[in-house]
Amino acid sequence: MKSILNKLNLFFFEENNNYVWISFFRISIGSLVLLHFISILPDFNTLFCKEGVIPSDILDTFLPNFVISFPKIIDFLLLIGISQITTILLFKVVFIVIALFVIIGFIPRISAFILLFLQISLVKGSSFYAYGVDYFTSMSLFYLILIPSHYNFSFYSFLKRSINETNITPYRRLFQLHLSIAYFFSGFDKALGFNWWNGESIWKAINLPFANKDFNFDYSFLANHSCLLVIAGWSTIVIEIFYPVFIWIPKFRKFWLFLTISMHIGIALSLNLYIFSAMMIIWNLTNFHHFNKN
Amino acid sequence: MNKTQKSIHIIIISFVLFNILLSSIKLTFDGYYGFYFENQKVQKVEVSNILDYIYDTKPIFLFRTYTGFETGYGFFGPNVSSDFITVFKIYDNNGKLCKVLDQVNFKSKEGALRFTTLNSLFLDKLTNKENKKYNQYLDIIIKQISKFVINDYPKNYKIDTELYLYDYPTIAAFNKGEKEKLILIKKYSL
Repeated sequence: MKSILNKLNLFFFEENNNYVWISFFRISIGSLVLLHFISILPDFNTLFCKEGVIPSDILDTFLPNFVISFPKIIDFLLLIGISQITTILLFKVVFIVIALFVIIGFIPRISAFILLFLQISLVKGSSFYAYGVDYFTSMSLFYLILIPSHYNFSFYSFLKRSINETNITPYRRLFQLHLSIAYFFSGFDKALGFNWWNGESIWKAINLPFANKDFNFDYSFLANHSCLLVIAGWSTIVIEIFYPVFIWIPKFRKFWLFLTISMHIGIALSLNLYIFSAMMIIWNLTNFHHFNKN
Repeated sequence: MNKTQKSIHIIIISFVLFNILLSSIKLTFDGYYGFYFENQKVQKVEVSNILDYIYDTKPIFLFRTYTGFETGYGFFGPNVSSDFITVFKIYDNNGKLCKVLDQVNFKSKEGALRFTTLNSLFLDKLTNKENKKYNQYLDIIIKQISKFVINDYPKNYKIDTELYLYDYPTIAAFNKGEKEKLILIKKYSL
């Protein structure tokens, strides 16, 4: 029992002063959030504002009162005489500036906190349009609040200010376990559906009306070679369900990381879910790629 | 690291891990029952009911809402859901069909992609038919979208909005020459 506790203690609390992984995470997540936000700007008013394609009072029907959404912020500021146009403009400017703060590591935890609040207010105000990447963005910003990330490649390291080092191994382990659990359930949930074993799910996914719009791959040959679809379905399940096993074995880590990242590149190309795939690749590299301290 | 700091770390890690496991297991149960027992009154296992209860308690609800930890991880599992297509037919003041759109006009790819996630709502029109109020709510949403589309045209123009289930053939059916079908779910006129 004692040796198990010792091992757990070592696993969660072993000192490690290599902070490059969390700096990589901060810069890449900050950049991705900024890019994602800029990509939606042309349709910002249509999707998120009070008089959008679906008015906010309809979108907000099932939103609990204590959840602050962007339309609620607009309403509140209207009460103190700030117009909707000003609020929208301010929101956009603040979002972009704070995302830049995260990237350069200027008060990164406070910046991540503000960015999370802004991002949640957008997503909750239009939850019908939310998809996987929004939840992963929120969780990423939560980790950037939890973990100090200003040791390398930041405003402070650039000024060569002395920074008190803390042991961030506990949160690295939490993050790694999170990713392992996520992949396990992703594989497990798929394994529960018989269509993942016979290739039908892959076939259906690549032929969804929103998918494959950018490259227009002709997948019809796959129907004649359905074994390829079966292999793709089984491979996805195996890569995901055994992720928590092989990613922790140093001998297999690089190989499993390669398989997982390849899978996400495949998803990006076939389903055109670029931001989501980039997010998952960042999570994988952050947690299991070995970053050289120097 | 002193003992107090260590204890705080352990509490935070345990709480976050608890939430991750809670969402994962709860949403796995939801996916399983939703796929295999759709439209059937089936008694869920007790664990599933307990998880549902904990998942909706206020502190957990608040935490997961403000951190994104409400998500499950079974992307496309256990089944790839059916998708929907909305077709907008615009008629001029003489009643002549002048334009057909298969989506709302967005200026960005991300906007259009984001809007397609709305389609998952319409699955409830098929699976949750007995909930009349919710169905009326979905009708209001579609009508609002129609209003938004017709706003780009002169005032006396009319719009018909048709909601279709996008039915792609199975591998075997595709090999027999079947093509994708659009099955009309509902038509709305404004």
